[in-house]
Amino acid sequence: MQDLRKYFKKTKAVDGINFTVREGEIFGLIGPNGAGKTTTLRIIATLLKPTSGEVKVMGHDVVSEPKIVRKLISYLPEEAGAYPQLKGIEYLRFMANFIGENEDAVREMVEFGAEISGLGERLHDKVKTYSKGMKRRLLVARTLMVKPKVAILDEPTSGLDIIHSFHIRNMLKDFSKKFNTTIIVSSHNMLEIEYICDRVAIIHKGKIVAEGAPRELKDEMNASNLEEVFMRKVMAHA
Amino acid sequence: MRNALLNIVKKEMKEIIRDPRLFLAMILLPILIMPIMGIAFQGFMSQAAESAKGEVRIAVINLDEGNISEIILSSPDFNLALKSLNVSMIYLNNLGLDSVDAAINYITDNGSIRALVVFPENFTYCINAQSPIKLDVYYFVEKNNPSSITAVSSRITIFMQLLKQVISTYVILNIDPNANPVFIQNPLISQPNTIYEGKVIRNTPPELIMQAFFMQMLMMPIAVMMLLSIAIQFAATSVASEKEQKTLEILLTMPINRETILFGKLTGSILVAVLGTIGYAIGFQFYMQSITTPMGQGQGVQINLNEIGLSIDPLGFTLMAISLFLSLLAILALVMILASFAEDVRTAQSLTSFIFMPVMLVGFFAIFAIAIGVSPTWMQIMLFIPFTSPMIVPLYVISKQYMIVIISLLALLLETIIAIKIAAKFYGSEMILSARLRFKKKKKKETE
Ligand SMILES: Nc1ncnc2c1ncn2[C@@H]1O[C@H](COP(=O)(O)OP(=O)(O)OP(=O)(O)O)[C@@H](O)[C@H]1O
Ligand SMILES: [Mg+2]
Repeated sequence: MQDLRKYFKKTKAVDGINFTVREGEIFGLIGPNGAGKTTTLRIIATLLKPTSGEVKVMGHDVVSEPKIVRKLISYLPEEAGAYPQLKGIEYLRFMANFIGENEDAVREMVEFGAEISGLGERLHDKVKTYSKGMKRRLLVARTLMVKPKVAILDEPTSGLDIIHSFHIRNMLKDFSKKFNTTIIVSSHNMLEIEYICDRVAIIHKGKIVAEGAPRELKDEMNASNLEEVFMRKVMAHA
Repeated sequence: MRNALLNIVKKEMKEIIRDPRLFLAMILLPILIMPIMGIAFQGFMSQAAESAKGEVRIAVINLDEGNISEIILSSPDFNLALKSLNVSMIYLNNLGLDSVDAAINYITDNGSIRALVVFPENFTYCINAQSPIKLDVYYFVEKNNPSSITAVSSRITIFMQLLKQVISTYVILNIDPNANPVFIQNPLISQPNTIYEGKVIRNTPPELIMQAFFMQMLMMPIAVMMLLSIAIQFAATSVASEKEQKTLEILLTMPINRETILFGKLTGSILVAVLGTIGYAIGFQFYMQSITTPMGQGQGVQINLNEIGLSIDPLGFTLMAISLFLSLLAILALVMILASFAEDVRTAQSLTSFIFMPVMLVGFFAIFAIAIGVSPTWMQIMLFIPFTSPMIVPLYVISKQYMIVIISLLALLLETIIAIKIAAKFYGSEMILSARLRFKKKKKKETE
């Protein structure tokens, strides 16, 4: 069991959050716009430094050991793009080159990425010819192809249609089970979170207002679905 | 882990080759620079023409064995016309000089005389025989002000014109009213020679020397400007496009040193700039050739740069290369910081060109200023600035002033290290992600 603890204060953005994600589980972050989800994930991804508090990924501090943390994680930003002039497959290869130890490892990663992207022959077209959904699938594949210990995905299905979302959702679930990968995911889609996450935290105005397994939260609030829990929690703290 | 630097450089190359936008920016910019250079060159030429209004001192040495030359040189019409043209004629025979060599030595020591006209031994004989007289003209090019020769050369042309008129009139009035019209129309053939740095370059008009001088003086700065502007454009684009395309965040979470990202982009920019410059150098060669050939062709003269002291030795070339390389690194490091404040490519490009174009133009015009003869203090200051150093170093190298160049390069090295340190620090911090600047937004705020 690896533990991932965090506590930080950042003026308003993230205002004293504590949570632990267990190894191999899918942890969901939900909250209204501007709640601090992206900021939290960026701190875990070593992109931002916490004003105060401590974040550890598998026992490694994101501030003092960012290089080790970067080897453990794979991060999909909320608004991410791929180099439009590269072909999908070239993009995967470019990214795999940073991580693969040797040519074989890189090739394996790229093949795996190509498979989970589900883009087929379109991988040999330039990224600039992709639709938003195709780009997102490529980026999700990029995040997972390296088989990270911890995958951090900020709204992986945002702006995607039902079919694309469905594809990504199932991929995350299968992936986590198959490789025992810890996944931290944020989303505005309660159904999605309820479907894929083992546990969730509801963030509001930089604070956690509820945390637990979706089922527990529903029971606790006597709600029929997560959306109801979310609304009541957020309203209560408004 | 495999070579991350190489990985980034390769990706940068792929992007530049495939992105028509980047290519266009790189081609358009130098095309815009060409007319600016044209204007600068014209400005310089008119400056030279301006100085043509001042007094010009022309020496004459008379070796004529007869007496007609005396009569002509002392003709009141001739002397009056010269005076009105602001030409003062110095008659070296009156100073006891009696050979061309002695005259050249005297003028070289004297320093204020710009040309020497030699009246040959057979002057009187030729007039009587009505065969064209060959006059040798020696132009004395000032080392630090070669452009002044334009003024001298135009006076000499008028001097010869006047001389022809006086000779023709003399022949018709005093020798033969029915003289051969071919001789009357063209009694003189003037043969230009140039004296530069105490060396006599025979059968060569001074304009050719001047051209060689400017080729040397201009080629380097122009190539440097090309190189810098291409590198700056590319670096700015490559940094800002990571933000515009939203690829930066992922790149920053890769398990590589942040410096590697910085150096990958630096290397890519320098590579592209070198390739671009080679392309433009070839283009420029054609451009210059098309200008200079008509002038040089008729003369059938080849100038040996070595002979006139305009050549650059290996040490000089090394110093020039070091200056260029250090400057490139320093400037690009700053560009990388600056450009990462921009959220899109266009903002980054205008941001960097707003800052770097004026600086480079200052350096460029300074070279013209030097050509016209401005105090060397400015030149020394510019030697210590990364932007202008590679433009100025060639001038010092040509005149073999190595010590000051080496000192300035040490200072430049320090500046470059500081710039790279700052950039590396910036790339290591979260500022690279959060730095934000967009011209449109700013303008809106201002108008609100
Ligand atoms: N770079 C930044 N500079 C200043 N403030 C920021 C920055 N990034 C985020 N914020 C602020 O921090 C707060 C939290 O933002 P964050 O992006 O973490 O929210 P979020 O939960 O991801 O919202 P959304 O659901 O809209 O993605 C917001 O009030 C936002 O304005
Ligand atoms: Mg967000």
